[in-house]
Amino acid sequence: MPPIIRVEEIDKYTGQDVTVQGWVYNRTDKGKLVFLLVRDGSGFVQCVAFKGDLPEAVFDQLTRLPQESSVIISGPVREDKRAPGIPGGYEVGVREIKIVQFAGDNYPMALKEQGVDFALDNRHLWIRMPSQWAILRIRATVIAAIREWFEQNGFINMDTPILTPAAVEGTTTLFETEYFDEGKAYLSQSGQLYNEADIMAFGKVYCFGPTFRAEKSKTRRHLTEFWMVEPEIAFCDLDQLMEIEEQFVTHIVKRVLRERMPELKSIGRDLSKLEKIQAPFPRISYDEAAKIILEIYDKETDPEKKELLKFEWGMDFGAPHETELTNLYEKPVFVYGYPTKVKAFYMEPWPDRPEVCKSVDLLAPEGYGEIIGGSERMSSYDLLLQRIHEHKLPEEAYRWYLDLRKYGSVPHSGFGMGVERTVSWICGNEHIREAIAFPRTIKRVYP
Amino acid sequence: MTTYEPVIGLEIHAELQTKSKMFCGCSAAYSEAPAANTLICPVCTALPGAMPVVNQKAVEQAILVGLALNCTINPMNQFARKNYFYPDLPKGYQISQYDLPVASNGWLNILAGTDPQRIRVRRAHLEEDTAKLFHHDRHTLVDYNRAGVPLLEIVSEPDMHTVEAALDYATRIRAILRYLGVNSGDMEKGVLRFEANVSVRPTGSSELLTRTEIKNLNSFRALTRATAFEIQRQTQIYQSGAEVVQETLGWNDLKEMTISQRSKEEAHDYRYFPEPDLPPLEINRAWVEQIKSELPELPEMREQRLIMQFGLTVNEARLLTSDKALADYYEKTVSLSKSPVKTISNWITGEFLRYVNDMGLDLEHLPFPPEHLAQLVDLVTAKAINDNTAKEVLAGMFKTGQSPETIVKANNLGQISDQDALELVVAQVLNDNPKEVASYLAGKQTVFQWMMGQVARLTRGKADPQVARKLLLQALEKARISK
Repeated sequence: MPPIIRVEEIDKYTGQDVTVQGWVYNRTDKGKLVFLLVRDGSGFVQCVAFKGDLPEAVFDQLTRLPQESSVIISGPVREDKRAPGIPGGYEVGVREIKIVQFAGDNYPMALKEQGVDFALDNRHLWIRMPSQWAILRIRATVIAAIREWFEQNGFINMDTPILTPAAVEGTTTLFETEYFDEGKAYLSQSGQLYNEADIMAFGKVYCFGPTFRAEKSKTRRHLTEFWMVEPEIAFCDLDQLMEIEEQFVTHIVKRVLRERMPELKSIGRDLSKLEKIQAPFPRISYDEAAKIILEIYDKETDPEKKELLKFEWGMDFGAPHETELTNLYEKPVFVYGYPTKVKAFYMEPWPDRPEVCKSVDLLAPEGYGEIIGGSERMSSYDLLLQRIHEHKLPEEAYRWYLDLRKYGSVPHSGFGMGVERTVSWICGNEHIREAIAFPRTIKRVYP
Repeated sequence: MTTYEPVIGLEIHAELQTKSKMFCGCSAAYSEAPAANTLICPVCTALPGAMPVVNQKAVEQAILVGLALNCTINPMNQFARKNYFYPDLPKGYQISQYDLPVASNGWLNILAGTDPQRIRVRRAHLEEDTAKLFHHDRHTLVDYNRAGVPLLEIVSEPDMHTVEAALDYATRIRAILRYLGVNSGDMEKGVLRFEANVSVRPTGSSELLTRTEIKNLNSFRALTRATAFEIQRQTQIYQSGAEVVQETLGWNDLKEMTISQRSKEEAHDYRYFPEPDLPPLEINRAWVEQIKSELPELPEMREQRLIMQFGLTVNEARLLTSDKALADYYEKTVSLSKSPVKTISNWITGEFLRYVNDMGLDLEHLPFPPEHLAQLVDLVTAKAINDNTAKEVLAGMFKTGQSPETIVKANNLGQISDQDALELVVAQVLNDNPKEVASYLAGKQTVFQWMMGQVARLTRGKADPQVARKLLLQALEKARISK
């Protein structure tokens, strides 16, 4: 048997005999020819069976081969610009074929229009389809690029606990569970506070894992389980943080463009938009962003849209506001210096302007909105204690966190990036649930 | 038809503001020299046996610029001889730097369209300026006063793709040099000169095609005109199926076109070799750190600070910090005035700058101090004068240099907010225009603005609009009742 290859590398085997192991995604019969579109996990390739090349019984079986049948095919690789597939442009002549399983009838995800709920009920099969397969391949590359960048820049991976004693703020959005004799424990929403302890030991760290949000009020477009990467850096102020963020995002997009071009093309992504993603990114203050929103609000004539754009200084931005802001730029845009009231208690206040804090959100272009939220953390013990009291948080629970300000406190900053949001933006896909293999929403825990 | 995108790199030659020349003790202030060839010595006129000595201040300033442009300061520097024969250099070579410059691998953020872009700075190296030549019909005169003045050449990577980007980069470099106090930025005196390396390529491609070098661009206007011309010229050459030739061009300001000077020489044509009369120059870390601690607040940092301190937009802050003198003037005015910062910003970025630009004024030598501008804005805020009057007063300040209070008093320009006085005016307007009053009362609301205009006319624009409005409404209501 010729060597088994991966379809994504097929261009290296032009003129050679190879073996492809995979599944039949589509079949077209043309008399003496049968065209099989075969997917092997790494790509989709057209395999052409010619009646004269194969025993009659075998060819006859091919003309009846259903979608999803598993096959092992051997034959020569030919370059052919017209050949469909991902990456496409090559085909395999079928000289030998072993049918591992003749797939069953009535494949639920057969090639026809399906409703979203139906597709989600069959998510275990849906992920085989090119669009979903491409998005999840891109997700894997995004994650690889995330780890790669941290590794190249001196960050240490720290795994923070998923079972945690208390929330950063409030417990209404937390999944809770009984925890033996200790009362309740909650599923983590962020590893940040632990990372702040970690950096005082390791300098630069990141944690990467699933986080959980039990927000009943949110629509089913939100995930209850999503993946977040959270770096934290000692001796880092807000300016330096923004620089890290733009380098980080540029690196991720660059690697996806380098390695996942066929996938991006297969889902019809406008590549020129991604090619513009190069550090530095524009930075605007919350004050200016508020001014821009108010100007847009004044000009809006459609009463429905106007209602959605309602805004005053001091509010957090909603999705419609973020969309308007990101439409002004081609790159992701930083909005920094949010009102202290809409941000978490641990953020460093702006010098001489206590009503705003050293926080920064990165909004992805084309209306995608926030993909990163970050801030410089409060480094003063007294101020942090005061904030904990103001927010009526139990001082006892934060004793260890306060300790970090007592023993060698330094300016430090960090951010959290939502993986699914980032993948959705890079793929140009509006449905966040398609950016993870098995999405969890308030209405779905199956499959 | 294939479209082409420009690829532009800039070389900026900046004279450093040192007391003495680069390699000798002669004064570098050649523009203030009493006569030609008075600021010269055996070193800068290349008498046999004269030995150069490096000017420490020049090296410090070069390091300062390198740090401001985020460069690596090279611990080992080497001066090199760049050999060519021309009367503007009596030695037969220029002492420059070749493979070990002061600074390399830096960057500067500019704005390309709506989004920022990072322009890489390849290197910044020290060299000496040349003599000035005065060409006459049959002979040429040489003035060696400028020969040996320290020059810093700042070389960018070819990262700019529009004329606007090149202009923004050059403008920012000039601002940084001025903030650092190492160059006056006075283009007319020739202390800052540009050279543009221009090529074009099919849009979307990443290859670099043949470039041409445009020398001696002595103003921003020449820089933009020359690069725009050259981009168009090269595009037309490719579109006609021909090839661009690598050459050095000059810019003719009158004809507005680039003119071929010579086919381009390569670096090896200059026979660079290490300067034997100067030992390698070591720049230790402590020295760099010391200079770093002396870095002043730069335009970008100041922009960031003003945005948060005063709630400015990026564009307002950028405009205000583009020139150090302007930013100083602005901050001084804010600190002296009791008015809201926003009002002050609007006045400075609006009317004030309009006058400065129209009159071609030097921001460092304005006819009146920030105190006066603060007073003017405060008069508006206190409603002592209205906006229109304030504009007149500002014009007077630019013309005479007098304080706003003096001008207001002298011309009796104070705003009339006195009720009794304005009531009389309103009564007169109603009395004189019975037809308009009738049509207002019949429901034609727009007449109201016209009547406000009459009040303004009778008071020569001095009526407090809010008081006038209130009184006019009251008077019209009275008229309605008595009708």
